[in-house]
Amino acid sequence: MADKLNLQLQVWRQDSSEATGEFHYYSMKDVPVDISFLEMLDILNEDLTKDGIMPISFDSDCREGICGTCGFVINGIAHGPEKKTTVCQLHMRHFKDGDTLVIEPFRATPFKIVRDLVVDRSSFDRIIQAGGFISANTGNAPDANSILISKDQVEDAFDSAACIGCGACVASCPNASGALFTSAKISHLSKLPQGKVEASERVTNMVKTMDSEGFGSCSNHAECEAVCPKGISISNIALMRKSLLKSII
Amino acid sequence: MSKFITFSSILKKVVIAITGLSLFLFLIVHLAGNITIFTGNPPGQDFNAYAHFLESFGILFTVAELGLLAFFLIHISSALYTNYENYKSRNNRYAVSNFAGGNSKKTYASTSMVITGVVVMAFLIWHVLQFRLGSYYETIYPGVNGGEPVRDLYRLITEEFSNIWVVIGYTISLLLLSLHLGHGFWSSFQSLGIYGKNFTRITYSISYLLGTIISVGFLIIPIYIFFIN
Amino acid sequence: MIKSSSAAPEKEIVTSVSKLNGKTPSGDLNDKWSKYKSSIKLVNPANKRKFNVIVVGTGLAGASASATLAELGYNVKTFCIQDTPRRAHSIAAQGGINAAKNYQNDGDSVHRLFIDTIKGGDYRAREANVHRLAEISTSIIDQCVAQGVPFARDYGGLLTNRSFGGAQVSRTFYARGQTGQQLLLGAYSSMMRQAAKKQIDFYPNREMLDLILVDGVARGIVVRNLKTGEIESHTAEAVVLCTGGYGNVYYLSTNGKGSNATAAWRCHQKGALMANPCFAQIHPTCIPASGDFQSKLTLMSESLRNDGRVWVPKSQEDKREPDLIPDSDRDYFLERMYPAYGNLVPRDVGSRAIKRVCDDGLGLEPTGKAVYLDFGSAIDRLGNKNISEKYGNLFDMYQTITGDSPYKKPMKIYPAIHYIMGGLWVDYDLMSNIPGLFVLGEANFSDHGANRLGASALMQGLADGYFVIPYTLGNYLASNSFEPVSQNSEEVKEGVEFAKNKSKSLMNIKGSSTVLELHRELGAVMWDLVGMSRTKESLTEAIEKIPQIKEKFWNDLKIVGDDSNLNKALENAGRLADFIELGELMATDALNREESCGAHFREEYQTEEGEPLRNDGQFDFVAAWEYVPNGNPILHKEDLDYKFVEMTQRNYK
Repeated sequence: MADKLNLQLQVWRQDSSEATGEFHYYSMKDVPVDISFLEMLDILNEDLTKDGIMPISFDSDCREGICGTCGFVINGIAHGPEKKTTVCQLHMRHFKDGDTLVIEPFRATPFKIVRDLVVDRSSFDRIIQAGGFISANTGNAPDANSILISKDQVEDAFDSAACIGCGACVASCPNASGALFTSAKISHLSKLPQGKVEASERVTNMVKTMDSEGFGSCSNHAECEAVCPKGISISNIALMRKSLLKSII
Repeated sequence: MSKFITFSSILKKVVIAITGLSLFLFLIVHLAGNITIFTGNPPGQDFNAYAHFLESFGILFTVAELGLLAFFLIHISSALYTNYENYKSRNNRYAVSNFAGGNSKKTYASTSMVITGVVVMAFLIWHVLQFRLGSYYETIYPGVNGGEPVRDLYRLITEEFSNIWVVIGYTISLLLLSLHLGHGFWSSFQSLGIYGKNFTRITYSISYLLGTIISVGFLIIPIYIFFIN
Repeated sequence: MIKSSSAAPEKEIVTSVSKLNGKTPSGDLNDKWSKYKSSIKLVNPANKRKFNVIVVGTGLAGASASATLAELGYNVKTFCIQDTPRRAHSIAAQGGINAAKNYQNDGDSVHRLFIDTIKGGDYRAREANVHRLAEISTSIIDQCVAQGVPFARDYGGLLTNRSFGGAQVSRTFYARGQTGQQLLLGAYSSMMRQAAKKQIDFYPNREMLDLILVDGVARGIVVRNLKTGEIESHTAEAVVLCTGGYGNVYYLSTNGKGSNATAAWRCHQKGALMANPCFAQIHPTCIPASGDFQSKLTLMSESLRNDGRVWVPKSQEDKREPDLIPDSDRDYFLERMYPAYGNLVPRDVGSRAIKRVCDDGLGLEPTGKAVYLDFGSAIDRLGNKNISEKYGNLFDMYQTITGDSPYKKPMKIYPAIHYIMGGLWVDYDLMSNIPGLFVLGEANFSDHGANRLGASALMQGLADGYFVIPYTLGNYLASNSFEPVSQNSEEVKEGVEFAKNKSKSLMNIKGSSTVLELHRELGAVMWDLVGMSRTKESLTEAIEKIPQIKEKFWNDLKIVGDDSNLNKALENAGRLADFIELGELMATDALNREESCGAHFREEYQTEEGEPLRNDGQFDFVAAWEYVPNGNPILHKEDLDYKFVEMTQRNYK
């Protein structure tokens, strides 16, 4: 494997939500294979700045794949070709010399583009506000060991709770559905005894908000599960539907 | 119910799933009935007798037919509407789209449900016009309908399927149907919230197979008729 | 525009005569907090909604404080620089959270957690604060479980614990390797619940650029909307700062890219004292930088040292692949230097040892700044499966980043800046010397002394937010009267003007150096000269060099674009401007503290065995620095009058 790569980048540039965007083309020479995708963009941005060109705006923070800030689409796949990886943890060794990489922002009507690859994911906060919590005021809690939860149950809940809220599920869904994100939180809480009390109200309100935010509906493509950095399963979506039906019947 | 008045995305999918699964069941019954084409002496007697048997239910048969029509209409209209809404959920398309692979179940079949669905719908209209509302021939079999005349659908079938273009049309439509069923079958359970680690794995792994079996089952008829003539 | 004067080589430190008072309640250590709680003034429930409280930052401290204050009925306005409150860097904490529950019946108690924390902080923390933290620790776990945090459990359904960071009891609660994430999402969800009830107005994408003081009291903040560039002002009866640590002053650290000192530094410029700024914790087991383009460092959990052995080749010339180097040619230097603790020596001791061997030229290729952490013998002993159960996710993470499998090839590690113990000075109420400005979590200095125990950062953030601030803030609001502050008042207008000018002056430099280049330059100086091993010479050199960077920054910075839109370079430039000034203060503080304690290691002050040597008689105080525009900072001292614990010298040999 070559230690350095030459790449052609095709990056979506858009100055603001209102502006019309277009692709810009950049050639990158001698990209070290040990750096991450975002570090590769850092290098490009340094060069652009030196040339007096506005650097590419992209979001990132922890750069260890847990905060959910980063994310865009590389060659049609959210977070790029590696499984269970965010773009900040995607390393250049997974690409080949001479590759052309098309980089686009997460596209969905509820995710308005702020600038270049930065999108507004505040709709996720509103979905959580609709019921993604357990109503427990500080100071009210009983002793932590007074609630027994089996190991399997808590591990199962954890699998759902691992969501980092990056939005790749929406970005990759052919329908721009928010079902995986919404259902992961619903499942996390309803799989635990503490969360069962409000389960019915929670699923009703969260689904209602999810719909009103303008997300599409889930057609079970499971592309979301495949791109999810935490590998969250679409069984959460089925559970959400089951809970909703249960709350109606 | 009072808590949930809006017709949510999830309920729409439930409707599509229930009607879809029902239509899937109908296809199986339809296919089972069609097997009579291959039996009977003289050829066609069993088939025409079976058709007559269904018609003999009179008003009940009409109700069943209208019910079936309603299921089709609900299935199609909900799906079209959902599809329209989904289209609106992404106002700017990607320049490049791709398949992530891995655990993804996104296939050409899953992404073209609306296309295969519309083709199958057109096919159905053609199919109904061709046979249900097609030329009315009569025939007489001793022991069927007390020796009175019954409709000779078999003759209509042999006539229609001797035309190569009809056979090609059926072949294309039915192959598209197999794709539609392939994603639709397992997906319906997922939409209804019926899931389980093994259940989902098994329904998914047999889904495309079932779709293919049903389509090929139907497809044998025009091809068989075409070649025996 | 700020112009620095050329630095004098010997900085004269002005020490204030009056001593700072931490306002610790009187009485026995065990009773202080309960006595405090029962004696404070309360705000009438009907009056709570008349009080506006601003919370800046939404990490564990900020999110828990926002949620709890809103539950009590205060009108809370919460601000964060991220696009949503759920992304603060608390989310990246892996290991766990300590609590003196003694569920394991292994002899843990509030007192023991208190002693461990005090000792871990090398006797430079305030006794009463630490004891309160240990007392509160148990309630945190209850609260988090009630919120649905999926802590690890036994088959019987009870919570399980692990021993962490060399503690002799198992008191660490954990949620896989994502404890910080789960705790933060718990606090975030409570916050969202209050947002839905309109008890919290939250403002994402806002960066605090100034503190509004009215008659010397904190009454509001000025923020920049990072998406639109708009400058906004918000007023309130109190400001609660929860903006985390400033490890990014070193450029490379385990902090998130956005973590910064700006909000805290602007408060400092407005008069808040900065306490013990030089206390920066270094974590020994991070993935080394691969080259010049490295943007941040990733921590590998400390637990790896339970089974991994640290070594380097004995000879500098030995360039063989690690598996071809026989045991006789390897130097297991931690085991050699510290036979009793071996690979499990505390973070600072391990870090310094690693740096020492690398400085001696024994570090690994290609950068010379890495050592092996080898699981070979553990795999031989326990088998691949066993090791994978314990460390599987960490090994995967390592492989994702480096491309090497730790099952086949030893890991490479190197120390990195991880946590900042120093911060804004606060009293027992967590209020700074500016009335109405409260500081919580990593942003304050109070609980960890000169070094922090593993799994205690999460504990402190949540203790401050869930269980301390509701009482102390209530006491403050009930004890004072507040005149409304108009948006048109001089103080507000001044703040807005200041923030606007700041952005403009940054945009107008129009030089040729990028923010990244200058930040790397600062980082190199900080790491080499104010890093894990410091000398009078290195610190003096830093104090000379940093003003040069400042000079270069204000004359040669290049930012493309404008300030009326999303402009990441502008954001980073504003933060770097503050890091530069902060870096100088850190060096000054480190130079002033002529002893070694905790994470602060002065080479002049060590025992014969190379252990840090404290000077309790002269330096058992908190060094709180007052900002002097264009002048030398003034040192205020708070004496650490240890009444309940005896100071001892630690020994890990």
